[in-house]
Amino acid sequence: MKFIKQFFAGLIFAAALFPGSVDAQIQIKAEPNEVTPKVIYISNDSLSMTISTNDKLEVSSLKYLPANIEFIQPNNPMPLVSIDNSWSLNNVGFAIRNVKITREEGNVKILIHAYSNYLENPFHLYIELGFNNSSAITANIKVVNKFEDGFHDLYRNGDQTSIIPGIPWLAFLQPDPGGNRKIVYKKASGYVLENYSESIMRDYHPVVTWERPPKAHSVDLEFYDNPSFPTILEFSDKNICVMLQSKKSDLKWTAENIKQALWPSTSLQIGKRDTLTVFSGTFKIFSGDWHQAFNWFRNKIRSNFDFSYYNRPGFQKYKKDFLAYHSFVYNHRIYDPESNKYLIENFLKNAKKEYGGFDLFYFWHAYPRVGVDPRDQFALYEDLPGGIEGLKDFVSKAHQLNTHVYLAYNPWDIIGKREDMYKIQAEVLGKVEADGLFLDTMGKSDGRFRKAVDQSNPDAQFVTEGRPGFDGLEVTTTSWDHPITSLPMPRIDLLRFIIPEHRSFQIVRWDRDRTLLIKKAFFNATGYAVWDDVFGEINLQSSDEKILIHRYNTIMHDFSDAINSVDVVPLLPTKKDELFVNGFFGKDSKVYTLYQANHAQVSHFFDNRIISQLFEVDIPDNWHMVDVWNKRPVEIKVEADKKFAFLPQEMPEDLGCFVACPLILKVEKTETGWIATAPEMKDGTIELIGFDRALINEVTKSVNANSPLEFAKDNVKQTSEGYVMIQYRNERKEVKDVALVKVGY
Amino acid sequence: MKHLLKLVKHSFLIFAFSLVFSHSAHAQKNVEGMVFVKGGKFHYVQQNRWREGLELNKYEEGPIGDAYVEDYWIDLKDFYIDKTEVTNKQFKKFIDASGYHPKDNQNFLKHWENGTYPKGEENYPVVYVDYWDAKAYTEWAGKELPAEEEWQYAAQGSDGRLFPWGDDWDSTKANVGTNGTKPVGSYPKGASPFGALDMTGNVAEMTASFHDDGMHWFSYLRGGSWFQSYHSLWYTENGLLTNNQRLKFWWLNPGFNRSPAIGFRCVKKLQ
Repeated sequence: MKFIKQFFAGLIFAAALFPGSVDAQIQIKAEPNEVTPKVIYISNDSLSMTISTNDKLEVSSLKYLPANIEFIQPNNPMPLVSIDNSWSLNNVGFAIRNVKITREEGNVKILIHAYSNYLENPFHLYIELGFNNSSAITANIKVVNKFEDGFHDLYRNGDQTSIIPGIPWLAFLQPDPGGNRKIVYKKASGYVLENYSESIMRDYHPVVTWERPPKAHSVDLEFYDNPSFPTILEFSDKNICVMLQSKKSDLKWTAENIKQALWPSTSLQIGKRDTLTVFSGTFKIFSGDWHQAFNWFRNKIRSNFDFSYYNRPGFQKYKKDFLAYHSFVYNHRIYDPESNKYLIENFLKNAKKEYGGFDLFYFWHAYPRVGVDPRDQFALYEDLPGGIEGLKDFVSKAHQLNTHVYLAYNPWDIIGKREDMYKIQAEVLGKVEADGLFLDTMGKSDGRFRKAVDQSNPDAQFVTEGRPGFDGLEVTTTSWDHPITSLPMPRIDLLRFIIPEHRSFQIVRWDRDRTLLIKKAFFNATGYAVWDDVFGEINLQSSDEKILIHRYNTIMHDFSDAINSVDVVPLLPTKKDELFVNGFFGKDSKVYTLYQANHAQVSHFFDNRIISQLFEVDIPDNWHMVDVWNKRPVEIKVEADKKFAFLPQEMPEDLGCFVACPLILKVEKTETGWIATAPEMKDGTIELIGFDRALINEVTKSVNANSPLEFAKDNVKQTSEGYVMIQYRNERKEVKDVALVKVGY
Repeated sequence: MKHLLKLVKHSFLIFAFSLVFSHSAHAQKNVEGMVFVKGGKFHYVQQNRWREGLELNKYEEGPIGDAYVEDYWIDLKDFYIDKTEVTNKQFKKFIDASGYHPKDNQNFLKHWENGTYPKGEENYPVVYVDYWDAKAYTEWAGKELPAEEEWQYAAQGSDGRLFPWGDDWDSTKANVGTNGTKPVGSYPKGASPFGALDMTGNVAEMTASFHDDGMHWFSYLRGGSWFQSYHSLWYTENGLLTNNQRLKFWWLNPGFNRSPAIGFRCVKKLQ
């Protein structure tokens, strides 16, 4: 049971309507006057707020004007700020000692300083509310313990250091209880979307909602439990979205228990003469699709993010690294004890056939061997086959086969009693010319380590086992997305769409079926790591998984230009409830990854097929679209001046990859077959693609784009529907057009 | 005549009996440096610290971490086991007599100089040898590496004691958690029921166990060693191990495999 004690103060407020001294779009009015106000009205074109100070400091109204939404329930005003402490006289009003209104470049701030009439109560409250001409309110709320020696310490209950701070009006916004509201909240297994219910609102905190009718499947969204991350509340089917972004709060804020954070029932400590930040951040209301709020937040994050490490010239070669392999060097596919040699060349060549090739190789040698004797991870490098030189040769061979090598760093391995482990690890990295470090057990690196590694290789990457927060992401350019077990689809990794420059690798160690994880990697266009020897426990990928990975790997590389774009959108609106689409928009191509959640449940007896208009696309008239996952054409239909991706038939699988691009290839029929040209291209190649029954691409013929590519019907491999596939690949090896030619059977 | 036949018969019996007796006496007395282990039915219970890698054995969750457990009865025949770990001196004798040198000598007898052990260390356990070096020694010596059951029985006897001397850990009875190896037999009070010394600590001892799971080679070491790693649960513990615990040891290349904390002792089976 929560006991709520509120501190209120009379609010002295200056009248706001002075000609020339009032921002034309923001109006502030205090009644009866600004010296001893009982009510303060703030309004602009987007919102209005009423703060009552009639013996209590309360929010009695908060309205979003464009939609006429009232967030505060009538006759149920909520306290603006509450501080509960053990001082028995704390209910005797907080007098407002100082109110200041400042105006600067369209922004208005109200600063309130309040403290108890009784000097025995040492807590001072500072509130700063900021308004501009939008629907955003910035709030900085602090409590300072102004404990005085020789005064407070003389009292029986003098040592006041604990309070229960809260922002009740934010914690209990309820503009439209019930209704057709959907909310997303976090369960133990992840985030789920469900219809609104009182119990969910009471027990969880909704983070983001989906504005479309209820789905049979929920959408799982990965969120940070991080004070910097927004909490998005959506209310009703009016598409109103409220975002709360905290920059700093001492309230132990997490997305899971935000209600508890905003108005906790447990006390916090403020030491003598210390400051507690109740809340510092922004509260903003959005109207429309939740993407608006998401984009606003994303822009705020990106505008304060240091991209230096992502902008290094040397980093660019890692942008096409999608598939990784996590090794156990004792494995006889990698090391042959009979010849005492590494087998990295054979290993990577086989991987090319099975998986389409590994872009990264995590070299793992120490654990679980280290600890048997005094040799630590660094001493063990010296005793590997060929020692440091042998490892350098290993790395060199991997590089020749287009694979980057990362060394593992075990921070817990201190038996070597090294003075500076960072320095030594950086030296090893430099000597063997590896590409980066895998930071075992670490969620982020620190600046000192980064600087040490920069001395050896400023282009080297860090990849952490855990996912860093936004501050850690600035120096850790890749990381693992590493659940205990594969989680359900559809699943969105929102980080992928906020900092797309950062590459996460989906990886799981003990699942025997990793299909869902591979699908997630494909759907989000993230990396994926194969881990089939978990420190001696063999857990091989099945044949089906290898095929899936091969197909995913091919698309990631072929269309890396769009996939590496910064212009990426999660969960585009679709016309089908069970269809989920992510967009990756490059300069000259757009890639849409599709996941159909109900594919296995589609029935002849229900109208739940995913056909006809699927989702809106914004592409030029001379572009076309191909499903490169299923190797089938996609139609573009125009309705009311909008273009839609259209399928007359269902996808054969639950995955699809629609690529929209200009028509570069021209295919014409001849007497003996067909001829494909790229009339306007001088560089690049035209490829005739063959594939086996697993639909794994294989270039069967390739000519320079200056030349025509001829093929006869009888000499080509077709899909089961009779399509032959031709690709134009530019000089950077990116596929820029795909033509499907129906040759029939 | 009748008396003569009786005399011959008795003489023959006495002679045969003395042959049998003298053979046993000869066997027990003349295997230098070894102790006799009387065989019998042995309840073999062992566990290895499950760090990584599944085993085929029974899996048990314990209060501190998890373990894979083997638990069965085995009928052991009589055998001899080296009273101590093989020493530098003994190994040098082998090298000198056989001319053995490994194909890859990275870290082989790293602690030796100029082809011999440091002065004063003749009775220290030989280290920086791998499984194949140990096998070469045993073949020269006409012995074998002990099976795990044999090693454990020699260390434990049949009452299931945790340490050779009993159930309570006693740092005065074994070389564990120190700065290095010590001469074999430095802890006489740590003897096992059969009189074997340094079964706990000093060096971790290789056994005959050698496994190939199709992708890796690994063995099990017994007894723990002088070296104890601290500070992190991710370390593979080679320090304090009880009689029934074993350490999974992955084989890589010879230089990696040879260690300052791993040695061995031999067994000799009776015909």
